[in-house]
Amino acid sequence: MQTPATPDPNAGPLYIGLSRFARLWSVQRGRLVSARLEGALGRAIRCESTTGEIVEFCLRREQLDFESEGSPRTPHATIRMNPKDWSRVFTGELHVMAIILAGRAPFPKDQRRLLMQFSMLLQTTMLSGTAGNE
Amino acid sequence: MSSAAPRPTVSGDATAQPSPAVTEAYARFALELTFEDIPADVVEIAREQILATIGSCYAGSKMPSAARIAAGLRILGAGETATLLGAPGRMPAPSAALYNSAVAQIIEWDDWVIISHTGAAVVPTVLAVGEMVGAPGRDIVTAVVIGNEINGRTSRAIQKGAYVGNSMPNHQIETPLLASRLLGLNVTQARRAVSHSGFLAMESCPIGWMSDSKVFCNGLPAMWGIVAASLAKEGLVGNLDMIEHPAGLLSTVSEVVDQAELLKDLGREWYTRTLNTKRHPSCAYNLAAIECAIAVKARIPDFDPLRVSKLEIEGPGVMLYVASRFQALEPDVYEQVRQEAITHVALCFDAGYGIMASLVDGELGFRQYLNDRIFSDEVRHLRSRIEFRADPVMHAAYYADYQYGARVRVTMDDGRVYVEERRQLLGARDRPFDHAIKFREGASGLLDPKTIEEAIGALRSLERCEDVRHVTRILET
Repeated sequence: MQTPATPDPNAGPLYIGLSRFARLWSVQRGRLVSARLEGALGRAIRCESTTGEIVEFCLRREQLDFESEGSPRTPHATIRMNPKDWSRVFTGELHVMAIILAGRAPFPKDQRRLLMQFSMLLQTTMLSGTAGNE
Repeated sequence: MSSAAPRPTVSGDATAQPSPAVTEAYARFALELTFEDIPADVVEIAREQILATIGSCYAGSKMPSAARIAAGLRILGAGETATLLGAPGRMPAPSAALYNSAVAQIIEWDDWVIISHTGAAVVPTVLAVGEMVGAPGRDIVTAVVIGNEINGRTSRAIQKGAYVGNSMPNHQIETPLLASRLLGLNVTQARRAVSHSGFLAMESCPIGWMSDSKVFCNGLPAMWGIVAASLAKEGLVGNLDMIEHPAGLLSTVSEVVDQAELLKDLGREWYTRTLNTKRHPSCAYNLAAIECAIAVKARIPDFDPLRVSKLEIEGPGVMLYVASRFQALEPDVYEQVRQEAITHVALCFDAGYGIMASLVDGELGFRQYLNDRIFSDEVRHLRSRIEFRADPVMHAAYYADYQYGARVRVTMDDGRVYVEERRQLLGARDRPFDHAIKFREGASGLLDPKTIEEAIGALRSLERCEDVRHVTRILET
């Protein structure tokens, strides 16, 4: 599933936040990806809110592809946080790793590098965003 | 010098590429490189690196936790072998190397080549063993270059697959090799020393980067490298291919090992030339912004931090990432420092703190990492005024050519706005500064002014010294 032009009106805050990330990511056209961060590309990432909302996607160099519901693919990494932390991550004030280091999100050994790489790309993208380039 | 030929892998996979005998090649490089093999400009960089690193050790020794480390290390025994830089007394070489390596990093004032911190591990190892054996100055300088060359290559090999930073486990490779050279081991013994040093791969726990655990444990490769070489010299048998083996050190700490980087142009291209030092103590990603803050303060004679209405920071994404690493803590990072649940170490990675303290004092040194400044009204006020934004151009410049840029904009409550921008940090290989400044700042209050200048002179002509102990005697406090 490609990046939606407008979020589903019935979508939850996680989907809305990630949709904004997807739009800003597309604007950057891969400029934020370096050799050290490109390990985050092409991987299935599952984001979960403690409210039960789940969104899965795959980050590609120039766009973010949301996965359909019920995708059979096993995600390469799962990020599970409470809505308050997701909200601060979507403003760019914090990144996912900050929540992990605060002890409020899991950090499985086999997902660490992907979580660190995606964490940096997500925050940089959100802090690169202004009304003008959305 | 000789280079090692490729040999078959031990995997038994018929399609596997031959694995170069990296451990053997590094051992030969470490034992056989001569002072005359090294270009003059590389020698000069290494001399300056030694000067700057000792300055960092002195400054770090003024932090409260330094005295705790020195006291705690006494359990390993007393000795008269090696100098503690900035602390009274001497210790056995492994303990002194550990202390000096720890204080070199205690306020994040250490250097790096390519992407890996080096001087804080290499210089203390070389000085401690050098004192132990009475090595000539040119051997000290040569060993420091060897350490940089090996460290730069191992860091390149694992940069896509390991958690990097100054806790990088690649120090477990260069430190035993440096000790092997100075202790007079042969090639087989040096390879075994790497095995003893690297068997337990020292990966850091990210949460420890908030406390003195990081400071102390980052010094362990210096100590353990010396012990490992001593064990190998006595005949203790270790694996001969610990670096390159598919189940060896690098593959254990990194999901990706780029074998081609390990021996690339070794002895021909000098990675020491990529050395970056720091003018101010903080994580490298913060330094351009810190310099901007100091410049803003200097421009405003009547500057009152309490009248700042907005403090805006722009830079590469990696700076923002580091800056907010500990910002989700509950209670917050400042309260946890107050409670001694963590220490100032967390603030060394906090761009916001370094910038705010620099703006308040017009400088950043060890004093800004003491509680008086951390909990000051001025910093408390600025904490509520600071904002960060990513600058995509600076972000790209960092990844394209390691340009550590930043822009700081200070808005006062009367509407005045001051902006400073730096495209590269002071101390980068393409923006050097006089390392005597760093040495003087560190040694101030520990050595008298005349001795400080004598020490700078001795370190800047180190290769002419017949026994490094003649120089380290000047460095004793």
